[in-house]
Amino acid sequence: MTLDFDQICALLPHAYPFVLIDRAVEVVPGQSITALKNVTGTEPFVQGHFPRRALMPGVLMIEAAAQACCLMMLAGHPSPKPLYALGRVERFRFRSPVRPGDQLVVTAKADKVVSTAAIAEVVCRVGEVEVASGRLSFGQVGSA
Amino acid sequence: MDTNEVTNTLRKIIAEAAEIEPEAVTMDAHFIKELDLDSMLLLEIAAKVEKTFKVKLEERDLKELTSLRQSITVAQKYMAQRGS
Repeated sequence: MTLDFDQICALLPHAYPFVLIDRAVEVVPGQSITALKNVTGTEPFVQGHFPRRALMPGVLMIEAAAQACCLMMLAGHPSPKPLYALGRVERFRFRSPVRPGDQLVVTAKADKVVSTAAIAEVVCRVGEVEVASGRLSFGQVGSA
Repeated sequence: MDTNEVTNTLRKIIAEAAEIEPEAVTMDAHFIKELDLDSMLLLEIAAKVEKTFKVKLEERDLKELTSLRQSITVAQKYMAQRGS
């Protein structure tokens, strides 16, 4: 399964400027996802992070990974779609800066899934370079 | 794996999740009320139990993971089903 930006916006509870996934190129519902975020020089965060050296904040990489995980869980889920919230960020490491012009490729693989929560291992890459990785736990907090 | 090994392995998993010394994980200390674990950490414990003991826990059994003593019972049930 793939998801274009319109489908992503329909699935995620987020809205501009906080939708941090542009496309999902491979989704296996409830199991894994590979998703893309094209980082541009007009991102709202570039104005302040940092004025003369634009870098994607690490916390937004975590958020992009969390949204990818959210899509992995919501794709193929019958309505009403659950609302997932991040519950735990573990062993996240940032290895290389992500800058305007980069395409962030987020891959997530579910490690443990139950009806109301899940844990996933995530890796963020730019090209062949692994720029960040970690483990995210998220749980349902209601319906979207 | 005998009961002592199961107990020590589970105690270590729980202590790591709760970020406390293994000695603090007594047999009947309640995970949520006494060890301050939450649902996310309990899921993490379940994931580590599955990897360590090479079992697949059913969702209904996760509710039984309330103390070290209960966790030993659950782990041994699955290990017996697996035949080890």
